[in-house]
Amino acid sequence: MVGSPSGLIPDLLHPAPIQRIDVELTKIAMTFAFASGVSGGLFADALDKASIAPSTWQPSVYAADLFLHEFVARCFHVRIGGKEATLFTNHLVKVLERPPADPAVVDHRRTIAGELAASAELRGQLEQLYAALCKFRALLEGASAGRKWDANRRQLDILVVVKEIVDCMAQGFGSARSGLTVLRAFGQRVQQSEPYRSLSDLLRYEEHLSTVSLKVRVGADGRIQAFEIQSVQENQANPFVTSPFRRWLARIELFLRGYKFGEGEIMARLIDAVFEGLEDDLVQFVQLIADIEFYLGALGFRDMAAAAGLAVCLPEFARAGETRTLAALFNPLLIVHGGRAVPCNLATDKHATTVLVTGPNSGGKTRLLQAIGIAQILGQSGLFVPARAARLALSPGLVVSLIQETKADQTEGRLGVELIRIRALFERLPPGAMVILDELCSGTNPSEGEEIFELVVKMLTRLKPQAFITTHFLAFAARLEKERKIADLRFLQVELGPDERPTYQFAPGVARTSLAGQAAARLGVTGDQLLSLVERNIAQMQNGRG
Amino acid sequence: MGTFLATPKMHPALVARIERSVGARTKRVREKRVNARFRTSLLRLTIAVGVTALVSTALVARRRYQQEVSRARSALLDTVHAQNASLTADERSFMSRVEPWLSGLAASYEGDVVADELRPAKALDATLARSSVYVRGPLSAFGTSAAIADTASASTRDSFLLCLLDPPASRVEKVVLSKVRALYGGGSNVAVHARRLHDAEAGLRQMLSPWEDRVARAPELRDLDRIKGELAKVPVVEAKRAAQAELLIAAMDEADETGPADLDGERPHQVRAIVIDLRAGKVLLRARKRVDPNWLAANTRSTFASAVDGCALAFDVRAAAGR
Repeated sequence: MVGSPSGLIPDLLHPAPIQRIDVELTKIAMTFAFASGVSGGLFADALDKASIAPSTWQPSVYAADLFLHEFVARCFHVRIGGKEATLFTNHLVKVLERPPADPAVVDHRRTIAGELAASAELRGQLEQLYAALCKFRALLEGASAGRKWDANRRQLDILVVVKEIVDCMAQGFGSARSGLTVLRAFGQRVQQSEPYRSLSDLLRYEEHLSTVSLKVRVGADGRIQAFEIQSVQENQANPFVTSPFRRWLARIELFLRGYKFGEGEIMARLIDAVFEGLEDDLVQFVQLIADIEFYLGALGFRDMAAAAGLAVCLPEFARAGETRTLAALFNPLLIVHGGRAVPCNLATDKHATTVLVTGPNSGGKTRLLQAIGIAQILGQSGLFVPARAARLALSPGLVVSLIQETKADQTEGRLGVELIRIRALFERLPPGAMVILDELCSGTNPSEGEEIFELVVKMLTRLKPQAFITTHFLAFAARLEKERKIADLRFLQVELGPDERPTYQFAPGVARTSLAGQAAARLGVTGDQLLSLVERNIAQMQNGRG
Repeated sequence: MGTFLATPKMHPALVARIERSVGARTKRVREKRVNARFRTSLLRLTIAVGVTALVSTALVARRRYQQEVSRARSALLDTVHAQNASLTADERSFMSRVEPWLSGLAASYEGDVVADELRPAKALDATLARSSVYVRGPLSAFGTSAAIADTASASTRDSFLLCLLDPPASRVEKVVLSKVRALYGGGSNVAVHARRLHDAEAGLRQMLSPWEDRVARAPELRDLDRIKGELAKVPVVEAKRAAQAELLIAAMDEADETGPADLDGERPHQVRAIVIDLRAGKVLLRARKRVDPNWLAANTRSTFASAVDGCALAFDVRAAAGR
């Protein structure tokens, strides 16, 4: 692990700071970008290759089914001063899909997120810092290269932003008690270092080489008639200030060393030297900007939910044997697709249970499973979950199977695919993991499918998972509920309203019907509707022949 | 401190980075990158040394040239000073002593004069044997110094002067013509003590011109060479000899009388002749005589009218002095 020369890594994601990017490579890229104004996306490259805190989760078995990338892209927004920032979505997804194994890390992030949610002042300061970092990135990566033809001016602009960032960190976050304090400590440590003092001196030198006192004589018509120079005083206290003769000698020296002969070349060398001193600290900005996006993005998700009249929260964490509560849980993917998310309450007497969810088609079962999965990911990443209140248990893994796609190259039929899925599930599933399965064993005849289903559920309970499984085997589920032979098996059903329509709420028990007939009628698949279509087609055929 | 970009007020770490920035890289990097910048630096250094050598050579050459110019100027000034020093006060004021006599005689004629010291036998010849300057010209050409200078430059040692110093035996045409021919045949060697006023005027004018200023202002060696050449052409000896003359002999031709002029320009008119003792400041001889070429035979007149008239005039002037 390589730290900054100031001895601190401004890591907001971990209580024990971790250098997650390749410092040496990033430093080289940054030096090149500073010199040339073209970076080729050094921030994105460094973050794509960045390491993540140790995690027991395997994104391949859940991320795609939960549309995690889409969730981050559409729910994590950072809007500052009316402008939408472009986030490092890939990096955010990478952090979210690998929740930390260490509970202390989760707690660290929760504390920061909670403090930012509670303090508008701290959030404002973090947004200000983020805006400055974005400006730094834009200048460094050449996003504004078209307007900056003067290389020295561009580099000085970058150094001005660097100072702004350091000052922002050092002077802000005074009221922070969470992991945000590392920002202030880092800023103050940098401010005390020689490279920062040299930076300040250089910027003062650039804007204040000397003071010229003028005496201006104004005529009766208001026009300037004459002026005379009263005094010229060079800013001798600045270490960069030298006599004109010495500057001239420096130009000669640079010319003989192979540089251009000009005042601008002197400034270029000084800028280069100052930047070199700051490089080790500046590299930290790459990781920092992504860390800040992690929290500001989550706050953006919180704002989006609030705008939709929904609440999010930082969940409490309980042990597997304790009560699970998700109050006013909603599926954020419904919001981003323009739908109406109906919050529901979900409660079980303990976490290590297998919950069979039954109910009518289009009753919200799959959406519920998505919401549960997303809530677990967010909660276990230390962020806000889509629920007004939540009590979750940390899980060593997550397996989700919601989508049953038919692939062109698949060799097995639907049942075969289903069985392969089950096999893979048991190959990877650690004890206590969360399992989310949609319509288990729906690809074969019910009697045989039910046998496999029962086998799977029995085996799952031995791993004491937090399992949520939907099924349309209603009779089978009802039998399991009645027999109660499998311990820790719980049943939830979609609640129906007085008109037999789903309310998108869930209550204990097994549904009596899947309301397939209602769905068929809603979608035009009743006997009368199909008969009328058949007769119309026959009539059209006969008219065509006639 | 390895670079002029660094200052004593800077932190040592910053100084080290500036040194690296201007090219004083670490050994490893240097070895790794014997690159274009190094070669450019070497090339520029070579050019700079070459330019410096050229400039230095040029400066040294220029300095030597200036020293040479200085030496030449100094030598020339010495020549000028020596030339100036060779002139006595009388010589310097020679023209200022001559001009009033000439302009006075040209203004009004106050009658013929023959000084007493000319009356004894051979006194005129003895007087005319003294060193003298001579000038002849129209009466109207003696009004100013510039006019006198122009007249002097046009005036030669003519038959009047030569016959005044060495007169013919009689005024018979044949005798006068013979005398003129004899004098003109070897005239240049006759009466060398009588010089043209022009020798004094032109020589002194050149000698007294501001040579020192010209020499001091001459920037280049070639300018000094040109001045040196001009200075060498100044007739110092002739001028000094002329300026040492004791007598002024002048002849002033009055306005033309009516009638046709001869082929050589001679015509009947009055001539004022004067001999002045410049040392004594006294008129020794002043006479006004008429010349008229009509007394000459036609063949003599067509070729020698002026010369014969001049010689005859000298005979008449000497006759007026009693000789």
